[in-house]
Amino acid sequence: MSERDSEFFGTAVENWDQGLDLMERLVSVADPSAVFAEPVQVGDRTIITASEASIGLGFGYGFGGGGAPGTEVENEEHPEGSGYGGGGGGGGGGSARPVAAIIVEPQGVRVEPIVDVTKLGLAFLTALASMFVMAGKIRKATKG
Amino acid sequence: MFRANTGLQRQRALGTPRRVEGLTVTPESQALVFRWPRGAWVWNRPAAIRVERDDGTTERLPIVDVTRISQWVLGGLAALFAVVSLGLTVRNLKERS
Repeated sequence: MSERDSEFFGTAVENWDQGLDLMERLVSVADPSAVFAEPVQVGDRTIITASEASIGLGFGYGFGGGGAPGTEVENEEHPEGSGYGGGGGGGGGGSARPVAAIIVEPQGVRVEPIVDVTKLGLAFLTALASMFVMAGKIRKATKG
Repeated sequence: MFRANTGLQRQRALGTPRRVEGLTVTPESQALVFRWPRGAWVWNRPAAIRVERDDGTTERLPIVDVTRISQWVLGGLAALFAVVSLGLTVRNLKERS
């Protein structure tokens, strides 16, 4: 996933077509090979890591031209007091998180879930905080 | 300059089968692709692993994202708490008046 990330986000897009090509390559992240790692042999076991991947990309451009009001245009090719410009930009981001480890051993195949304790801890604290805030507001409303 | 294939797409795909420890293991993933004219967003998650044994039996082992499920459960509990408390408060206020 990190190689794909650097491929996407370290690429300079010089024109619209290159942007579209990059977007097509981005959609290749939907392939199973992007979420299942290569098997790793550990002793008599083979481990395949399965991860969730999310990636997004967006780009845009704009251009325009204009002339200063009241400017006499003497030479059509290089009119004084007029200008033309354009620009574009884009950005994106991605994230990946291990979800499970598939362990192939002589006894059989098993799927071991990988629990993200930090994420769960944050979710628990957020839920707890929202409950406290809600309870406080209700207590205030019933007293008043 | 606008792309025709925009919108939301759900894809389920099978990866390349691999021989591991005398078994044929095929990964299965599920992706959600959202395309708009000037960008795209892809969310891909492992769905299952298919194990084919030499005797011809095939087993599909689903991959459960425990972290995501727990997050949804916690969010659901918080929402349920909010709804129940609000309901009780409204009932108390009505009884008082």
